[in-house]
Amino acid sequence: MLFNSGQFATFLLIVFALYWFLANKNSRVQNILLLAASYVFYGWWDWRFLGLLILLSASNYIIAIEIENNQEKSKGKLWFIAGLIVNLGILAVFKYFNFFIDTFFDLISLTGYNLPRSTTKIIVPAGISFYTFLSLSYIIDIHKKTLKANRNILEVLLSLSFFPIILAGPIQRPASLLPQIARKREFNYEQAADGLKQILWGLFAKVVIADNLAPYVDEFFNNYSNYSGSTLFLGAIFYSIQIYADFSGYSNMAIGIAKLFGIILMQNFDNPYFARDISQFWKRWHISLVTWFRDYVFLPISLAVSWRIKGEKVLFVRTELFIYIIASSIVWFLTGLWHGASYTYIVWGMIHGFFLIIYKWQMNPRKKIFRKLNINNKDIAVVTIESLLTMFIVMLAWIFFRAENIEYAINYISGIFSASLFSVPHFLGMRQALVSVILVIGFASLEWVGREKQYAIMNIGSRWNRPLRWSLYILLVFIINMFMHTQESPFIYFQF
Amino acid sequence: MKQFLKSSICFATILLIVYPLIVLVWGLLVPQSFKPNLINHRLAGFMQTRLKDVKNYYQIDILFLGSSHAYSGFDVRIFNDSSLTGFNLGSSGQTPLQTEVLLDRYLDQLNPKIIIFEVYPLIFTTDGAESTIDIVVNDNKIDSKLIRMILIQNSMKVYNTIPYLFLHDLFNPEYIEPQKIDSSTYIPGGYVEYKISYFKNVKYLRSTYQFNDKQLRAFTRILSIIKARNIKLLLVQTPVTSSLYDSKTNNCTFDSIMTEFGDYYNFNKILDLDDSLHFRDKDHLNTDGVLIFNRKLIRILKEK
Repeated sequence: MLFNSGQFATFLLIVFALYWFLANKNSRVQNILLLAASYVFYGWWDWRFLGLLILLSASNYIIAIEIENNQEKSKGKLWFIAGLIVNLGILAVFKYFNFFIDTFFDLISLTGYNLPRSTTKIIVPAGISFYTFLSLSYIIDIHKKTLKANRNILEVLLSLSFFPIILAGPIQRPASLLPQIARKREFNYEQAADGLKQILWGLFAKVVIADNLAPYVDEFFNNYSNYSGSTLFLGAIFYSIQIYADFSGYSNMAIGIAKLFGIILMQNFDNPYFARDISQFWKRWHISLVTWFRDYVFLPISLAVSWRIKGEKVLFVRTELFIYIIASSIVWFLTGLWHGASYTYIVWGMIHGFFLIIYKWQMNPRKKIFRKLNINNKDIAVVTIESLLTMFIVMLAWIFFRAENIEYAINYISGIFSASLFSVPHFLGMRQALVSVILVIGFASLEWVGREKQYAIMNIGSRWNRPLRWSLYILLVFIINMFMHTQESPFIYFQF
Repeated sequence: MKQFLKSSICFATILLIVYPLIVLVWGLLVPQSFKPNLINHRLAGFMQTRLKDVKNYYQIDILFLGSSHAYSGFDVRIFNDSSLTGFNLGSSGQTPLQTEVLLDRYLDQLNPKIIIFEVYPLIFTTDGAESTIDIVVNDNKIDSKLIRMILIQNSMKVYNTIPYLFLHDLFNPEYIEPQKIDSSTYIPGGYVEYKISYFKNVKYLRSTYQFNDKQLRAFTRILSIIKARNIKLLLVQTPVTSSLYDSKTNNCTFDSIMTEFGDYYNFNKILDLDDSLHFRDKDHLNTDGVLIFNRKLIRILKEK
C-alpha cells in the first residue's frame, strides 16, 4: 500500500472518518484505532513481519520499564544492554546477516579455500531500519533519564508503529511523539488543511518529478557504457533530483498525513540542495536520521574521546579536530551501513565523512585567506561557487549510492570524465525528457520561493481569497494527473 | 470538522466540474509532449471498422485475439482458402484486460470452435490504456464489464481521456474511419494489410520484460471463460525480428509461463525468418512473412 496509490487513499479516508467520527471520545480510543490502522498498513506490506514489529515494540515497552525501575542499580544497565542487543540484534540478523556471511566467505576465499555458500537469503522486513531506530531512541532516552518510561502499552506500541512513519520515517523520537499520543487530539481545521496541502506537494514531488526521472536514471545507470560523458553527467544530476523528490516527497506526505490526525512530526528536509557547504547540507537532508546519529553516536563518542585526551594536539592535529575526525569517521561509516548492507553505501557515507572533515579543517585557514584577499564571505559569486561545488560533491557521492557495486560506480564516474563530457547529451526520448526538465525547473523554483517554510507551497496563496487559492490547488491536481508517471513505483527509501 | 467537511465536499464538486474543462482546453491547445496522460489521437488498427464488421459474423471456426500482431499477423483470407472461417478481433495494444471486455461482448455471437490468442510478452507489461480508449471510442457502449475493467486498470490516461473525448465529441461531427489509411488497408474479417515489404534492421539494448500482475490475472480469467465454454485454445507468440527477440533476457520465463496456461506455440522458435525480408518493422511481419507464418499455423491446426 504505497502512499501514492488509490488503495492508500481509500485506507486513509476510512481511517480518517473513523478517527474523527467514531473514535473521537478520548485519546485511548483514538490510539486503539491508530494502532489497528498501523498494523493493517504494515501487515499489508508483509503480514509475516507484523509479529516481529509487535514483538519488538512490546519488548521495548518492557525493557524501558525495567531500565527505569532499576535505574540506580547495575540491573538497570543490564536491561539497557539487553535492549541494545534486542534492537541491534534484530537489525543485524534481518538486514546485515546476508552481507556479513558474504563478506566472511569472500575473506575465506582470499586464502585460497572456497567454502560451499548457502543460497538461503533472509528477507529484509520493510522499514526495519526505521523502527529499530525509533525503539533504540526510546530506551536510550530512558537510560539517559531524559524521558520517563511510559506505562501505557498502547501509547508505546503506537509511538513505535505509527503508520505514516513506520516505513521510511521521519524517525520521530518517542520523546516528542509520546506526549502528543498521550493527550486527546482535537480536530483543527487549519492543521488538517495544511496537512492536505503538504500531502499534495509531496505527491507532486514523488509522482511527477521523481517517477518521471526514474526511467532515464535507470537507463543511464543500467547501460552506462552506451552513453557519453555528458549524458552520464546528466544522469547523475537526474538521480540527485530523483532521490530528493522521492524522499522529501515521502516525508512531506508522512508529515501531512500525521497532521490529519492531529499529530505534528519533525521536518525531515530543509532544501538541502540550496546548501552552501557540506555541513549545511547535512543539517538539511534527512534531518531526523542525522540528528539521531548526532545525539546517540557522535556526541557520546566525542565526549568519550575528549575525556581520554590531554593536550592541545594529537598527531600534529588540533585536539578538537582530532575528536571530530574520530567521531565523524565512525558516524559516517555507520550512516552508510544504516542505508544498506553493501560496500557502496559505506563508501557513500565515508565520502561525506571525508568532506565534512575537510570542511571542518579548512574553516580557520579559509577565514584567514578571505581576510587577506579581502573577499566578502557573503559575496553572491562566492556563495554560488560554493553551493555548486557542494552540489557536485553530493552528486558524485550519489553515484556510489545508486550503483550496484564499487567497480560499477567507478566506471560510471570514469565515463563522465571522458572526452565526451563536453558533447551534447544524446539518448532515446530526449523530447519527453525535456518536459521532465521543465517540470523540474518549476519544482525547483517553487522550492526556492518557499525555502523559508516547512514545505515549498506552505505559504503560497495563504493570503489569497478562496477562489484564487482553490484555483491553485486545482491546477496542482491537474498537473499531477496530467504528468504523473502512470506506473506506480515504490519510494526509494523503502528498501532501507 | 463540519466546516472542513463542507469545504472538502465543495472543493471536490468544483474540481469535478472544472477539471474536465481544463483537460479539454489543455488537450486542444498544448503540444503532444505536454500531455503524456491524455490520449487524443486515434489509434491505428481500424477498430471502428472492425467493430462494425464483426456484427456480420456468426458461428465461425476461428476467432483471433490479441494486439496489432494479431490483426496484422493472421490473414483471414489465407485461413478461408483452407476452408477455415474466421474473424480477427485484434486491436492496437490490446491487452488481456481489453480482450476480456471484447469476449464478453462478442463471444456469444461469434461462437468460435477455436480461439487463437496472440500472446506478445510486451502486452503483459503494459496497462493497456490506449487500447481501452480504442474500445471506448469505437464501440460506443458503456457496460458494467467496461467500467470494471477501467477501475481495475486504474490508469490516469484513461481517467483524463474519457471526459476529454466526451466533451470533444459534443462539439465535433462523428468520425467515420476510412478503409485505407496510408499503407494499411482493412480487409473484411478483421485483418489489416500493410504494403511495406522491407525493414532495415537495427540493434537493440538488452532489456527484461516486467510483467504486470493485473494482465496476468485478466489472462487467467479469460482462459477460464474459454475453458468453461469448451472452446479449443491456442496460445501463439507471433514472430518478431531476431535482433529484437534476442535482446530480451527473459523469453524463456515467458515461454514457461505460457506453457503452463495451455497449448503454446512460440513462432520465434518454430520459423526461421529473415529480419529484413519478412518484417515491416521490428516486431510486425510483412505480407510475405504473414503468408509463411499463417501456412505453418494452418498446418499445425490440421495436424491437431
